[in-house]
Amino acid sequence: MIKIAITKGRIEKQVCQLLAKQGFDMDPIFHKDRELLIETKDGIQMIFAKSNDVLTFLEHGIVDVGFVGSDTLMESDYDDYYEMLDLEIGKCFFALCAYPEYKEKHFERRKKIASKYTKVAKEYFARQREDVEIIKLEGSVELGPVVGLSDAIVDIVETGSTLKANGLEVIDKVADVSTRMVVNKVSYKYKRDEIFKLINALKGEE
Amino acid sequence: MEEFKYLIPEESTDAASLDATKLRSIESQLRSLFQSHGYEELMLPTFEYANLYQEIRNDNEESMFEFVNGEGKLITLRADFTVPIARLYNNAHTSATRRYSYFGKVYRIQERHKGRSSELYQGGMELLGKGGYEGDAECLALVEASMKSIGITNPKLELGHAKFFHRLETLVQDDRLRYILDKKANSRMKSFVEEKGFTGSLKELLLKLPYSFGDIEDLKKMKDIIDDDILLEAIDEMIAMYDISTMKEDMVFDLCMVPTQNYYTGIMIKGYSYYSAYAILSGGRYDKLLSYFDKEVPAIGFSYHLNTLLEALSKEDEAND
Repeated sequence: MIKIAITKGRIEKQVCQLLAKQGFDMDPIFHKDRELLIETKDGIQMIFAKSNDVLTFLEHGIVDVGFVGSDTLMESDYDDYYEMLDLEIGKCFFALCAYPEYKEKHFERRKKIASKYTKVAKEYFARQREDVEIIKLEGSVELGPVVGLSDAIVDIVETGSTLKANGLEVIDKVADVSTRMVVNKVSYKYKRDEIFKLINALKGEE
Repeated sequence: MEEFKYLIPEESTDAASLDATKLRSIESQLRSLFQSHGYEELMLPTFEYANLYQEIRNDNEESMFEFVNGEGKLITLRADFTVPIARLYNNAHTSATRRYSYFGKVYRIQERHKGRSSELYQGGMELLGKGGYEGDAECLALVEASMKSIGITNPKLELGHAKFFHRLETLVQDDRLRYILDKKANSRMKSFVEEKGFTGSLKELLLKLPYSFGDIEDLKKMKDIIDDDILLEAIDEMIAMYDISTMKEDMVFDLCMVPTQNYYTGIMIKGYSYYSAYAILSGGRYDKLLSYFDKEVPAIGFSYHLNTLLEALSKEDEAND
């Protein structure tokens, strides 16, 4: 029995499709209704959770394996896991975004940066050796510059259409993001072969 | 509102729920085992100069409970036992073999709301002045004897080697190696090897490492693809431990194990229970620690993380009910 926590939504869909293609029985998951925990014929027990909670379940040893975006890993303070596979799906990137004037503008005061990912933003500016004020927003971070709360934002860019619609653009790329398979360290000592099987399937190898 | 009448501080929550009876019974098993092997029990101070740790250990400064004392010096609640014991040994002005054991708490500030305790109860031993195979063997024998006396069902005993890691570091010359090995990040290793343009046996070894964890056969197979003498020496030291082990079936090997402190130089040991999300025991050879006190003395030791162990044992009981 291998226990998996998977980020609800797109990651769940993509990973389950990959596994189905490799002959895993994913029907109970494709046909689930509102269940939060499902067991399949291949001895997989899967729970569906918000991305941050996937890491919490992994950290406490409730699950052996987690599927999350690397954005969640970067923002989390927990780092005692194995990151065994980059699935190279759900690709997007973190970027510093602002109105085009930002590039030329000379700031005599601390810049204000809005982000949902305050740790990622803080680390990015630390690398640039810039001292900025970081303001946490929970959603629609683009509002920051639009309403004049912040000078720029650090956010995930997928298609860039929200940016465009609001006159914002990518100033600098911060980091690539994709879906990762993470493993609880102790689980790996006990369930290596089952975990290998999963990794090989996801890599498209037998 | 007088909250203090019914709330305890967040730092204390886990400590309050420890099963004291069980803790004391494990402690007395360990104590009599250590005593019977000639280990002298130490009572160490609770307060230390913060500098003692900051100079030597990699801990995040923010993780210590620090105060300014009457002299205006920065002091901290004990964050570890090994460093104060090294100091005690140094103050004894000897280079003879000394055997010490200890029981008590170390204090580390934890992330909020992570369900981790700030008061960590440890029990362990340090063997100073005995290097090489003999010292390793004595330490391993005590690890195994103690695991058996506590009676952990389905334990795993994992060996790694600091020399193996440090040699790789020298060969690779890139700080990212530590992160990649620690995370067994296979995909990152691939792009890292490509980017650095490694070739030949080093390339082959690096690509295999993230998936190299396994039993003695897996470890021996790794020797076939290695042609570096120091790396091979490290593996042979691990195999020598396997040969004298009384827990061969439970022993696993991790060549990706990364030393958490700079002073580790040799065999590293971790113990696991199926019912815990963390190691219940950890230790290793640290021949470099005494060099911070300008002394060259080999040493090895291990300690039980008793909070984690107690939790694992109670989960095990629940599962068997």
